[in-house]
Order: sequence, then C-alpha cells, then structure tokens
Amino acid sequence: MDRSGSEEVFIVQIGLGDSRVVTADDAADDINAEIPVQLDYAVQEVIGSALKDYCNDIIKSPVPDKFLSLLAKLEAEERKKGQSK
Amino acid sequence: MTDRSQGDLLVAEIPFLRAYAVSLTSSVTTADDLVQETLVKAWANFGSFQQGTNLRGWLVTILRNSFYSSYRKMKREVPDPNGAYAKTLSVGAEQGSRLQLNEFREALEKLSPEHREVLVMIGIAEMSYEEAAEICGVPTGTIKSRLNRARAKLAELLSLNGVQDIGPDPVNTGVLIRAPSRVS
Repeated sequence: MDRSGSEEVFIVQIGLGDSRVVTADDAADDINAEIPVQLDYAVQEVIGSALKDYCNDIIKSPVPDKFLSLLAKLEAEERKKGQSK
Repeated sequence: MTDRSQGDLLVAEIPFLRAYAVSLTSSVTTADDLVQETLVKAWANFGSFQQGTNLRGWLVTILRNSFYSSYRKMKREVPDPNGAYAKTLSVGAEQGSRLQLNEFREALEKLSPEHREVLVMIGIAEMSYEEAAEICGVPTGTIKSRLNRARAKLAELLSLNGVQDIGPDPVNTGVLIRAPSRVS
C-alpha cells in the first residue's frame, strides 16, 4: 500500500540536512545532549521560518532614534577634533 | 566625507545587530545597550576595519566580545522580566507564522547563547559556516554541530517530532521531501 512510499521518504530524508560532523569540540560543546543530531528537513524549514519571523520583527522595525543621534554625536565630536588640529 | 559614509555603513547594520544582540541576551533593553557599546567601539576603531571586507562580521565580533566579557554575567543577575520581550513584539499569529511566536521565543530562550547566535548567524545573516566559525573562534565542524543541536533542541522543545501538527500538510510535505525524483 503506502508502505513503499514511506520508505522512499525515509531514504531521502537521510540524504538531506547537514552532514553530521562530530569532533572533540562538538562533544565538549554539548556533552550532555541526548538529542537527535539529524533533523527532518521539513522540521528544519519550520524552525527556519519561525526564526525569521522572530528576527524580522526587529530587523524590519525602524532604527531607533537613540542610535542615529549617537552616531551623529560621534560624528560631530570627530569633526570638532579635526577642526581644532 | 568618509565620516558620513562611515555613519551610513554603521546605520545599515543596526537592524541586524539588534536582532543578533537579542539572540544573545533575550532582552531588547540589554541588546540595545550592547548595540550602543558596539557602535561606540566600532566608531573609535573604524581605522582598523579594512574597507571592502565584511563589516557585519567585524561588528558582530565586537558585539560578541562585549557580550561574553560582561553582559553574560549580568544577564544571570538581572533576568529579563518574563514576557517583557513578548510585549515589544507587534507581530501576531495572524501574520501567517506557522509557529506561535511566543512559543518559539520561549523555546529559543531555553537554548544557550552559543546555540542561539549560530542560528541567527546562519539562518538570518546567511553567513557561511567558515565565517561563523571565524567569528566564534571555533572549528567549522563545531558550528555545524551547534547548529544541528540548536535545531534539534528547538524541535524537541516545540514537540516538532513530525510535521503533521504544524506546517505544510502531509501531502505537500511528502512532495517536498521526495523532491529528488531518483530514489533507488
């Protein structure tokens, strides 16, 4: 029935995603992790788009004035220094 | 002249720096303090930045160093009030996000900063593994490993064991996953 179809899916899933790289550093990085390292490609997609939603809220909001005035202040200070030389 | 373009170059990177800083701190207030410190340091040291090279990478390195040298300790002492970040978010579920943003944020906050930052470097800034490795001062393999672990941990926290409950329906998922048509 559906069986061959689901096996097919399984085989391809293994080929997708990042290759598993385990070095001594990886082990040190998270030695207690008991979580699967290989993830379903579709799960990665869901996580990736959620991360984008999360970050885009900040990325797409206008640059706060405090940063613009900070940079303007730094620029003004530098110009003043340049003139006094 | 150069000052003006210097300011413009920095302004253009502020949105990403804020997002990256939030990924480290989980707090918009602390993140903005970090960004401010980064801008001051970047301005003072702009002479050491080589024009034409990767400005974002350079700024991320500065911000990262500030975070790991001081803010990380501070964060433990002064945790962000629960939900403070959520209140700053204007995006609701109606925007078509497949995961509830708050649910995702809570899961993300349970990861270590090392894992969160790799997610943002690769997933948002679209840095290469090599670039992220250089900034974090670790081998490329460690970046790959951290990314995999970060995703796996998120999947676990969000109960994304399968894709049936969230995201594309099973039929479409099947098509997506089977995209390479030749399967032996």
